[in-house]
Amino acid sequence: MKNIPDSCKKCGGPIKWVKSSEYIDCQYCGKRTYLDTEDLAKLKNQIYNTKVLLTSLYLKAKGSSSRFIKSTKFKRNKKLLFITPIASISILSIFFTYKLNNIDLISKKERIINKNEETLFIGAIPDQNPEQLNRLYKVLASELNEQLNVMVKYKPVINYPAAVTAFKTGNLDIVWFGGLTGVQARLQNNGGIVLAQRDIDAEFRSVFIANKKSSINKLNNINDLKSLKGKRFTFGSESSTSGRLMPQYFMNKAGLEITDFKGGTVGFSGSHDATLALVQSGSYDAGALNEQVWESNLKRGRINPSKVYVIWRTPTYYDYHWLAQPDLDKTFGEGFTKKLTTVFLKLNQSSTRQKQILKLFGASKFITSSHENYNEIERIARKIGKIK
Amino acid sequence: MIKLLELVNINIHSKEKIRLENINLTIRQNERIALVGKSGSGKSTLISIANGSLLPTTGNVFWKGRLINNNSNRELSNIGTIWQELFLVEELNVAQNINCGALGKHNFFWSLRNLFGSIDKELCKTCLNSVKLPEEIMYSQISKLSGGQRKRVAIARLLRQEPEIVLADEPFSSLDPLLSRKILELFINQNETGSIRVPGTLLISLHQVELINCFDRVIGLKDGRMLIDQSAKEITNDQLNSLY
Amino acid sequence: MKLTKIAVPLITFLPSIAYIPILIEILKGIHFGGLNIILSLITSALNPSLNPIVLKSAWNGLQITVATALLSWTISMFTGLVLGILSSDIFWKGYNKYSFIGKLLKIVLAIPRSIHEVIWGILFIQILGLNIWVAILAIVIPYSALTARVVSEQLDNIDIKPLIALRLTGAKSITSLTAILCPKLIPILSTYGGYRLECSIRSATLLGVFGLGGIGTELYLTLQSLEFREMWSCLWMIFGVMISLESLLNWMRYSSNKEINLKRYYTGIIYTFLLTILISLTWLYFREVDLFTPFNITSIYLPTISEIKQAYLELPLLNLIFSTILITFLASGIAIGTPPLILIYFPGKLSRKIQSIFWIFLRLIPPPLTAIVILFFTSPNISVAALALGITNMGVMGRLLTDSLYNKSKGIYIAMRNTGSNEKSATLYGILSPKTNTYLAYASYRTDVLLRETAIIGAVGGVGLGWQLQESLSSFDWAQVIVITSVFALITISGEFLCDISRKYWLRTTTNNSLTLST
Repeated sequence: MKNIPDSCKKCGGPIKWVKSSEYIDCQYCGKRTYLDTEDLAKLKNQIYNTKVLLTSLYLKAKGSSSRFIKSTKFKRNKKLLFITPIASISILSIFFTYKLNNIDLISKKERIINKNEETLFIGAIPDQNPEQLNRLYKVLASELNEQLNVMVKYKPVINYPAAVTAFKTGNLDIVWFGGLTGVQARLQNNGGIVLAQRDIDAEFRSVFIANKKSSINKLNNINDLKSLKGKRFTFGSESSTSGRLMPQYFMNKAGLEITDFKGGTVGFSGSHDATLALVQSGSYDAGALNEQVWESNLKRGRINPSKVYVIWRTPTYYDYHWLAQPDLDKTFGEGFTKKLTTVFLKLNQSSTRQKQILKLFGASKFITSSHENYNEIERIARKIGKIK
Repeated sequence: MIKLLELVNINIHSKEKIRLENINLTIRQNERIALVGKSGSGKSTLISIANGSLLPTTGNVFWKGRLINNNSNRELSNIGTIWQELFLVEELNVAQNINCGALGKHNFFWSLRNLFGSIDKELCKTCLNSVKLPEEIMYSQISKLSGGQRKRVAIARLLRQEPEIVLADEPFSSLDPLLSRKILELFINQNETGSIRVPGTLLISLHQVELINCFDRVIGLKDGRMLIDQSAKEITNDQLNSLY
Repeated sequence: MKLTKIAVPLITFLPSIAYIPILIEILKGIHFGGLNIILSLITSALNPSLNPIVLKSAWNGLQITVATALLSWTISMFTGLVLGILSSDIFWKGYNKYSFIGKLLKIVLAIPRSIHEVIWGILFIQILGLNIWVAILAIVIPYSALTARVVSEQLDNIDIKPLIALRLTGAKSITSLTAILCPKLIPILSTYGGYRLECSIRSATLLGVFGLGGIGTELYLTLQSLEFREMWSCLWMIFGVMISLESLLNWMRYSSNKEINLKRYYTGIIYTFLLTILISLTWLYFREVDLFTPFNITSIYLPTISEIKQAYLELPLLNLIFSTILITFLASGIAIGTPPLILIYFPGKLSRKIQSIFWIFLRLIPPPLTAIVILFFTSPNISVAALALGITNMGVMGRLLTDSLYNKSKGIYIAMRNTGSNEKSATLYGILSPKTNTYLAYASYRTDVLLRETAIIGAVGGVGLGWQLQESLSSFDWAQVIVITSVFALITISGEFLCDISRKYWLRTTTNNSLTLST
């Protein structure tokens, strides 16, 4: 059966159909209307029917829900509807008050000496791929747990001042600090014990890099740093030893002050990877970052040698290390600090978990360290003003 | 005479009630129609349907033979409406509001220029004179005007639009009897006031029964149905009373 | 000839003049060295990381952030409401003897308001250690003060005649106050509350960026290591949460628009408050967040007066203040001026829906991240900071214009279209103009907020007070911290004062009571 429209779809004017024609042009607006063939009409019919079916189903559902709400059954059970949330709220609040009552809300630095129930809190800010450690910290925690037989909990910290404060307030027991932040932490309240460092940390270096377009040449010695005058320069994070403290120290030694750069200031990119990316892109002419990050980015192929290159390698210094609260032995038992140090020193590629931990910290092994190694860092920091 | 506006089989339902039922209306050129009826009988709805801003549940509206929503903006600017809520822009002054009527004839940048100051001042003054408003009022803000003054600004806006047909929803409700008569005469006698061409085709809804003899036709609505459709001369008082 | 005053709706566009200096600076320093980084940033948007470890930790972080936001929002709404009522003039009208308490409270509340929640967070970490309650407190304190301010302003703007009438019938002060104030609080709570919830999610994310856990931490860490695909996984998740929140709020407001049953409304509010608090606490608990660690309150080293004086002389304060104010003006210029332009140039219902989604997207990216991204194709400059701040806040202002609830009355738009105008003009006259006053009032609130937000733009280095604050904090130089924080508070308070005056001017020029369009 053919479907014959009697008004033009575009302008609404009437259409006079000529017999046996497949289409007609509207006399008002000129739109061509086609006669529907049987199949097309059937399809349109089907679509229309489905639409009607769905709409009626929807209306039915809507109607039944509203009918339910108006029904007497619901009205009788309305009381239940109000009692349930009240009951659940009261039960939950009782539960929480019970929990809260068992805790002293404010406690001083005195710890309860109860060896087997103490938890060891650790924190770390690695200088590379910190987001991976943020996700995989359980690996470290469970390894220490297994080896030391104490509850180990990892507390995420992502910026240096927060980590230093957490150490000071006793929220963290051992922390993986950089040179500068470790000194800051030790000087805060109680001092701390230096446990271990990576093999590369004994001879850590920074590199100064520059963008090709800045036309800065490779430096021969430290005094050539003066050629950076008037350029746009960026550090890494403000509290980074390898990304800010030591480079600034060497610059000052060469007679270059921060105000000598373009605009009288420097940038702080926040991380070594970011410094690399920013100098490579040309937003900054030059920057300083830690050598290990440079090397690993080189290996990953993220560096375009035609755009960015190293202009100088700094002399060596001590950097990252594990710092522990001085009173761990009191809390966890005699010799605990020594045991902890041994655990780190013994980490090797034997088990998958240990391998993963070493990878997260970018180390091949850990070696011992002592606090004298950081005396120079402390001196420099006081000079620059990072330690008051 | 050309059929300007044609309403065919208009029905508007909503969940609660029937707003308009089975309305058929043809407006020819230069025809003057008065729309009367109780409050709530559907006069405003009818006017909204007629200018295309409200879609009926069934039925169609044709403007000069075409479906009203298929017209271009230029064509639409030939239909002039005075709304019951007026819809004046509060933040602008009187002259800028009057110029709003001419928005359909100009492009976007003209409307931006309108915001910077008043353009086409002469035309605005002519319109203001026709509605018996003083010229000084041109720069005062709408929010400071009284109800009657606002109504007249809305009428002036319509005049500025220079449409072919006027659809007005109770335009005389805040005006005194003398003023209402004067403005109605403006539309009926179609005096060319200055350079403004006054439209001759009217569909005006009103409550003032004494003005009905100025019109050609009377349409009476009651509860959404068209009860009366007669020439103004033949209408009797009984018929009018049956509406209320 | 009389000079016509420039039409008010145009003033909504005017601030976009700020684009001129910003674009000049940015184009001056533009370079294409970072092009491939930007390209990889954009392409990773369509290719987010689906690594289950990444997704799991992002999902975990998201829950923590949302739960923290919910909890702090509930507490701050409640305290803000109470404080707002107590600090409004109208409340003390019954007890004229004690009205100084209200005024005093208003002044006192300006101080927590003037310090950004990130600064509160960083300060509290120093005192209370690493704790989830630090984040909650850091949001609650400024937010309560902000809510209190809005509530007290709205209450002071209502018509006092019904109150006087009630008092004259012999009702006691507290009874008549309750009768008058309670209904007026409903529109305030519902709209402002929804807006605050979204703000608190953003703040919780931002606090995460600064180290307090949640998805902000994930976001920041992945950006630092330039792992863009993982960053986009986090961003898409946050985006999803924001859109669902937005639709939920719209649905709630739409359905409650039909009729306001006071009793049901108030029981609803009390339930919501209690339920939200308990739900968020339970949620955090099950996410293994330490809710019950005791606060380790250690004594902070309070600097002496001479140290403070020395710090005051050391810092180049005038320079810092000037650059802070400059950033604020530039950023608020683009934030205020852009949404109206886009609203006009892309008219239409569908376009408005797309715009609202676009604004949500702009809102959710924290300014420090935008700043780093902008740095990749231009050289560091004040304009970079201003642009980053402006982009985020543009999203907030744009929401006001495209919010469907405020678009209910389209009468003028329809009338204009019926005279045959094109869509752009009709939008300009019909949709933008009626909202001008509320928009401009909001704009002045936003400028306040922007002033505080300059504290968090540090990436550009050496620009503004906020940067100097971070530097001093990382050196643990408490004397400098105190000096900078007080200077910040002073500028914010005076800025607030100026914005208040300008807002009163705008609201005075029309008879539209701002309550009808609710804040």
